Parts: sequence; C-alpha cells; structure tokens
Amino acid sequence: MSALTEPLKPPRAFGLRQSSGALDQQQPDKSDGGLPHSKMLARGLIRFVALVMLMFSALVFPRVTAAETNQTSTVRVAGIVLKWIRADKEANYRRVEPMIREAATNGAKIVCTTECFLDGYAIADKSIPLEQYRALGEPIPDGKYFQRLAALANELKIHLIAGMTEADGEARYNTSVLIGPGGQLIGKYRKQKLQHESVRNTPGKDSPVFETPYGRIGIIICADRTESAIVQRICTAGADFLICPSGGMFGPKSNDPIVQARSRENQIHIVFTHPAEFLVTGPDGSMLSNTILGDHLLIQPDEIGTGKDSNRVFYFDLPLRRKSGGS
Amino acid sequence: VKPASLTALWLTAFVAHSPIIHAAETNAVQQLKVAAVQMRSTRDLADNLTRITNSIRDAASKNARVVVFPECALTGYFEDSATNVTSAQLAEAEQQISEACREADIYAIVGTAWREDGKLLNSALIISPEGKVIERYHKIHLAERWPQSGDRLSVFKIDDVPCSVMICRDERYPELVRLPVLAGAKVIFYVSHESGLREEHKINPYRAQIQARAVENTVFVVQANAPANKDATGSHGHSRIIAPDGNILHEASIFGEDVLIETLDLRKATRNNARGSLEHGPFQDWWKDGVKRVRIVE
Repeated sequence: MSALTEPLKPPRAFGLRQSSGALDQQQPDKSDGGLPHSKMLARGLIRFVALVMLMFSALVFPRVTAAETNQTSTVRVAGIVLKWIRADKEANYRRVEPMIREAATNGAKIVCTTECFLDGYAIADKSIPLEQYRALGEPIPDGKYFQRLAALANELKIHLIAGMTEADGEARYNTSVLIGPGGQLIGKYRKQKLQHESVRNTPGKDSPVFETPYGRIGIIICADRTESAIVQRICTAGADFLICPSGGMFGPKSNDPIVQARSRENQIHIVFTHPAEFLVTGPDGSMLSNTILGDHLLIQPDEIGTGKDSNRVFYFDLPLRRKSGGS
Repeated sequence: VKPASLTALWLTAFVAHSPIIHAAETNAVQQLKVAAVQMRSTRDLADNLTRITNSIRDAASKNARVVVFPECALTGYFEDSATNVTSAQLAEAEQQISEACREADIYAIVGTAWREDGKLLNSALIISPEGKVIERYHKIHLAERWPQSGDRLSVFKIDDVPCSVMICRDERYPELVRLPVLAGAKVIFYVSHESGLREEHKINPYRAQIQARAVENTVFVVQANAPANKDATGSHGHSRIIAPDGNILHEASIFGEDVLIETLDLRKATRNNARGSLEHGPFQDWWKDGVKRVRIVE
C-alpha cells in the first residue's frame, strides 16, 4: 500500500466528513458495491436522517458537539523522506523547502524532517575535520537556517520539527527543533543516546513534551528509540504522540520491531521519518503506515536527481487524543 | 545427581555459612556518596589549588564523602608545569588541600606531579577528613616522558569502604584493577587526562575500556577526566561514574567543568567477576600470589 494515498482518505467513522463529495471519490467504493437499489436508497435515507439529526443537534447542543468532534478528529502529519547531502546545509535546505511546501499544500499541519537533515548527519563522518564539523552547528534560535525554517513555518502556518546539529557555546547537540505556525521556537529536543556521536556531541539531559493545539508532542531522535527508558520518560511526561526524526537503522529487521515495541509499551503513536523509510506505529504496536524508499541514506552531490535520489512526502492522519485538540 | 539437587546442596552449604557473611555485610557501610570534578587546570599552581579547595568545599556542601580530581589537576597536565614544580610548592599545596578536607570533613583524591626521594612522579594524593594524607599512589604505566614510574598498588579505606586508584594509562592494564579488587576494593577511582579531541578515534575505545574494568570486576568506577578546550587541546571530558554491572550512571560533557555526584549502593559491588580468578581455574595460586603485592593501607 502506498502511503502517498493515505492522507487522501477521509477519516473513518466520521459521518459528516465522509459525505463530502471530493473525499468520497478517493474512497474505494467497497461498501455499496453490488447492493440492491432499494438497499442503497435505504442507506442514503439513513445517512440523510443522520445528517439532519447531527445538524439539528449541532444547533441545540453546540458545546457537546464540539467536544465530540474533537474526540474523533485527526491532524495530518507529514514526514519528509529525503536523502542527505553530507555537510552541506545550503543544499539540504534548498532540497527540503519545496517538500515542506508540498506537505503544507496537501494539508499537513505537522511536518517532520529526518535526523540532522540540515547538515546531512555530518556527525557520521569523522573524517570531516573537527573544526569544520563544529562550524556546522546551528545556534538556536539565532542560526541562519533556523531563521529560514522559522520563516517557512510562519508562512505555511505549520508546526515544523526539523533536525539539525545545534551549537550551544562549545557544546554540539543532535537536536530537533519544534517551530510553531507563528515561526516561533516552541522548544527543542536534544538526542540522549549518542553512541558513536558522543566523540563530538554532548548528550541531551531533558525529556520534554511540547504543548500544541493537537496535544503534547514528544520528540525522540533515532537511537533514543532503542532505549525504552528514554521513551518512557517522555511518555510519562505526558506526550500524546511521538515524532521520531531518524537516520540510522531502518527497515523490517533492524528498525520496525523496535518502534513497534516502543509504541506498544507506551500505548502511543510514533511517526518515524528517515532518509529511506517512513513508518507510523499505533498504540497497540501495529504498523499503520510503512514505506521503504531506496536502500541508502546519503547521496553524493553529483547524484542529485538520479535514480538514487528517491524522496517523497508521506502523510498520516493522526487521531487526536485530547478533547482540546485544534483544527 | 540432578542439577536441582546439586543446587539445593550448594544452597544448604551457603546458608550454613551465611551468618558470618551476613554479620560482616550488615556492619559494612552500604552507601558512599562520591563526587568527580571535571576540572580544567592551567599552568598556574596557585589558581589550580584555589579551585581544588573550592571544589572540595562545594562537594562537601552537597554531602559527598569523597571528591576526586583529574590527573595533574594541581600542577596542570603540562610537561613544563609538572617538571618545574618544587617540593616546597607541593608540600605547601598538599597542606592547604589537607586543611580544606579537614574543614569540610571530606576525603579528596587529587592528581598532581609529585616529588619524592629525588624522583618526579605522576601521582594521586588521598587525603582523609582528618586532613591526613593516607596514601600517595604513583602512576605505573606512563604516557609522559617526565615522570618515573610507580611500583605499587594500594587499597585504602574511604570511611570503611575499601577503594583503589589508578591514573590514566594504567587503565589499559586490567591487573591494576583486578589485584586491588581481589584485595578488597569495591570502588576504583580513575584519575585521568586522556588524549584529546584531536585523537577522537580513541574516545569510544576509552569508554569501552573503562566500562570493562567495572563490569569484569563487578565494582564501581569513578572517573575524573579533564575537559576539552575550545581549541581542541586538553582532554575530551566524558568523566564517568560506572556501576558494577558496567552501565554508565553519569557521563560528563566534552567541554564543561562538570561535577558528577552519585550515591553508590555498595551492595552492588560484589566483586564477583574478579573473585572468580581466586575461586576457579588453573591460575588461582598465581592470583593469590599477586594479591599479596597489593599494599593495604589501614
């Protein structure tokens, strides 16, 4: 199943929106196929009556309806699956920008990049001279590319979760920022489990959650997912769903079961965005969306636009957990 | 004979002996609060000394029982400052550190160049809350040209807890931990100024190696390393407190002058993996002979 088609499906079990024509055309017509005409008529009648009753109740009990609406509503999350260009912030920014625009055009309200998308996960390559690596660090919020990402989020009115190497004094962090639809920095998360990165980066110490109209967002970065205690801390802090910018192991053997396990343990959705994979897991550990895109994470500058440079925006309509959810 | 009945037999034997073990365990100190100071020393001995005594007081105010500093924290880990320091300067500095320990009621383990019997040594001073120097350990396996090598291992007591110390390259020699642990040490203080960021290929192996020292002996390791400097000179930070199961409880940053503090649960420092050397295998006698060479400071 292509995840590309998924966001175009209407949310299930939500009568009002299902009857809207444009969305209905996208839905595979399974339920009505082959039914006698009378039954279809009866169904139409039931739908019509239900619609009238709903509209009526909306007039009479506006508050109750608002609450019920939010209980079953969703927010469209987009994952920008994009191959890295190593240590070239300008190239990576130029490549991500049109994809973020595309995501917003298609209705995404929360958009997520891969881990350290901005510098193409330069920490992986220790042959990059230390000073050159350290210069790739982006001060937050004063950095040039942070500012550009913030302006983009503001223009598109989206929540943007973007991975970058952060410079804070002498320390470098593997960070994902959360930028709000006003272009403001809502918060940032610093990767805690560093492994090979720890020779140049400092581990994060905090396990925050970020308040948004769609609920509290928790962020984990790549290898954090392998440490159940880290994920648990963020969930305990009140996360309603987790966003996981990633860039390490991927695929059904080395990644998916780990993300599924973290979802199941914490009964939470996880949206995993990687240069070669998009994955969404549900609170019961099920895979709700999963596509592998290519077999590598990185391309050379001269491979831009070739077959190796396979990139796509993936969407998932994430059910909201909170009644106070936004539009 | 079934394995289950063997286990039962063994358990019976164990229970028969357990009153003695139990009595010994309950009398022992169960916890030790330690502090590791990731200090950035300069060539200025007076300045280093002031910062060491301040850190001693800070650690005591956080109720740490012992505070440990990096290799050559007092003199600076520089060939010139380490070789230029005089006996008189060292004696005076040691006096001031002792006084700070006495006033703050805390143990300190301080890395410094040291002069003794006409030798220049790379040493760790272990000072008690009474302000007494209870041991001076001298680095055995040298990475520097300037010192002479030490010739003994020690086990000393922090309160009633048997501990030992090693300095930087010593950690590459597992026997320098195994022997003191067999002699009773439950906490190993690791005083270091490891290679810096310019040799970053060493950094992860450093971590693996010191974790191994903890888990292979089932003891705590408390490391005070120096931080990196902005220009990538100095060391690389990452001071650590490591549990007896080999997992890292705390790890400092790369550049920061961090202080790590942890209350060690000494019941976890069973020394089990080390004791195996004395209890099984063909080298028991050889290890028993080695343990005799460890100096026990009473």
